[in-house]
Amino acid sequence: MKKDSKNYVDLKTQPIPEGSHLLEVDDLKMYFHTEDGIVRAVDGVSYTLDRGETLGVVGESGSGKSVTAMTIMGLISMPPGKIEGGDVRYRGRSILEMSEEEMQHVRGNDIAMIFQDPMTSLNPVYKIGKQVGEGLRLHRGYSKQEALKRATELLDLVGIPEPEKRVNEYPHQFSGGMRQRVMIAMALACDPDILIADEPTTALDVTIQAQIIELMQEMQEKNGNAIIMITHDLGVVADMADKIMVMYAGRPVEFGTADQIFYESRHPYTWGLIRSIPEQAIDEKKPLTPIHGNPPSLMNLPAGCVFAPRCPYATEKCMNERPERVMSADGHYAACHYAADEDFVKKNAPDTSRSRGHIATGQPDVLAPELIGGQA
Amino acid sequence: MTDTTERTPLLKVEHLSKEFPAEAGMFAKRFSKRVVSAVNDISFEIYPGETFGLVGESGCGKSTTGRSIMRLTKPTAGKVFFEGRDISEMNKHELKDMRREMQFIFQDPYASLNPRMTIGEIVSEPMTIHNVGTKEERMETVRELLDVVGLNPEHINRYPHEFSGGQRQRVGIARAFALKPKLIICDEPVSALDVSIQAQVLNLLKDLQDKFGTAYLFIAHDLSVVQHISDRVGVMYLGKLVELSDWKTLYTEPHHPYTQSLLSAVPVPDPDIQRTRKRIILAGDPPSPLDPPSGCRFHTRCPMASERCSQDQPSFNEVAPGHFCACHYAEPFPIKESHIDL
Repeated sequence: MKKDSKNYVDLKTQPIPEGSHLLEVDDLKMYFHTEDGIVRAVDGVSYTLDRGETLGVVGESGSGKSVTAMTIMGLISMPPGKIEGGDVRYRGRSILEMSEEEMQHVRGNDIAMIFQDPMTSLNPVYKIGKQVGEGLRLHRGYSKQEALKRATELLDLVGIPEPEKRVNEYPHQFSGGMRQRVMIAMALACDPDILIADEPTTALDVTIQAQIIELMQEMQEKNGNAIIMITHDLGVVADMADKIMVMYAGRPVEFGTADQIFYESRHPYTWGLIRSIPEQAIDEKKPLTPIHGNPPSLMNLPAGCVFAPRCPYATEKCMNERPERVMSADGHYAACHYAADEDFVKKNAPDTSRSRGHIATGQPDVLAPELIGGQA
Repeated sequence: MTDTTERTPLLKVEHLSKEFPAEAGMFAKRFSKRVVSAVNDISFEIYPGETFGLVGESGCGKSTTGRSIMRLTKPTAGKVFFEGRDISEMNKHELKDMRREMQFIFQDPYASLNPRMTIGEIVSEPMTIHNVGTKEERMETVRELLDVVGLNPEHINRYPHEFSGGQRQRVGIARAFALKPKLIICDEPVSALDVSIQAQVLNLLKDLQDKFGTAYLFIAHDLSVVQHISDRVGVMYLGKLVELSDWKTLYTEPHHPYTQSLLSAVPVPDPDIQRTRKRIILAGDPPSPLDPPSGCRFHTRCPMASERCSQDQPSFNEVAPGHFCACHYAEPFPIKESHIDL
């Protein structure tokens, strides 16, 4: 039974309207209405993405990185979720206004996703070949044999040895790294425009992580797709991302190119993250400067800047007023009252390899004792 | 760190091995022929007040090493000396006494605290077991400990679910310090925490070490965390210790090809470095410990393996004072140049 593929337009083949980007997320707000109150999981996220680009989304657990991606994919059940504002446009078309049927064609075909846990995101009772070929059967109307043949090619492409044999095996016969390769093969089966990877390497060992990152980059070079890389690991985004969005408590606090975020960041939370990572110091060990306190509850956000209770530089204004985004001409923005204040930024931003001129001087880069943030 | 030969070790691990039967069941221990060799003939020493880091990928046997030292699992072969006394020969009572001096911090701050006990009960339990002080004195100590680890002593009657992950890990740390032990085995203490919280806990562990002079066996998979906290570091691969040295030498001049590739696989949070540095990407997965490769256990993935590596098992040689490496072709790898000056 061949599926009639004429009843919808393949969005991928549509031209991107003049002046728009491949994907535009515009002030997206996604709240969960629970019995205990409203959880503002995503609160005003904006970014743009073009083909061939990689966007890194960084933040701690509960910062809304995954929910943003799930909203774009239409994977949030509503209720309890509800879109409270904003828009997501893919090739100029609003995804949020699409019917479930249209979304089904977008998911997997135009926008595909790789999940964190390769152990639970594969179905244990179906053979690998069937799972990898499922999208092709659904979206492209492939026959069983064609889909299996293509699945074998895809497994070969992602570097799985003996693909002819492996397509007929079950997920439990694969190691963690191999399962993540299967997930990538599955996501790339229909040659999607956008690949969303939600912590794809977190469950893997470093040597395997390096393999997977290299594979994703190779595939991107070959297919020209865009990648949204969601991770808590600044090392991984430094490796992959062209643009980076730093999220905190459901909001983007800073957005810019990788270089802007790592070398010219303007938000105290980004600074805190950078100071928290143990540096691969070569001469002397520097003490870590953690961010004090804990992230706020999304149900009960502080009245002013969401980061103010933990921010070492917070002032009266920060406690009471929500900061607007301070945008520079090249699209770099930071949601901080003082982001435009050059002296403030210069004085407090952490040392970087660029600002020092070379790497790991062993110069202490610690906050003055009076600049320790309060408890959240 | 270099004068280790002068001092007497607090803990001495000699040719420790741990095998698990591959089949489960009543007679598995006696009749099973297939064994998983989780830890194979490893030796190292820990000196008072130092931090010894143990790194490796999942399944390399680092946690089993920690558990064997604590005798949470009985080693198959080898000896573990704590202050000169052999732990592997101790009976139950001797073990109990010994564990006063040796405590454990677990990975999962959610699973390692009893949800039905208050924070006060959890932290005072080691003292209750070892009959330290009266109840009032114990509670007083608990309050002090909570204060030291950065929790509010007034929260003594709260339950674990009222705390965040980072705070729970602080409770686990307070419990480990309750008896002022000489050695604490930290098994992935920060891997379940977010970076900003991870930094808080690492700083806390360092402060407590300065304060009480406790030695740590710090088990983790994250190389940058281990580098940050450790004085000396051992690298494990498939049940074997492949390299051991002080942190600086290990991170600047790793000799073993596995250490070299492990270090080069860690993404550096600095785009300039990341874009230019050379990387060794290992092919394939680690082999199964059920059927470890002959010769050097790393030869199946090693970029420089030769005929000899698949037959001869390399011995764990001292390549420089205090620097051991198990490789036939151990050579210094000037990481500084290859990582940065490219």
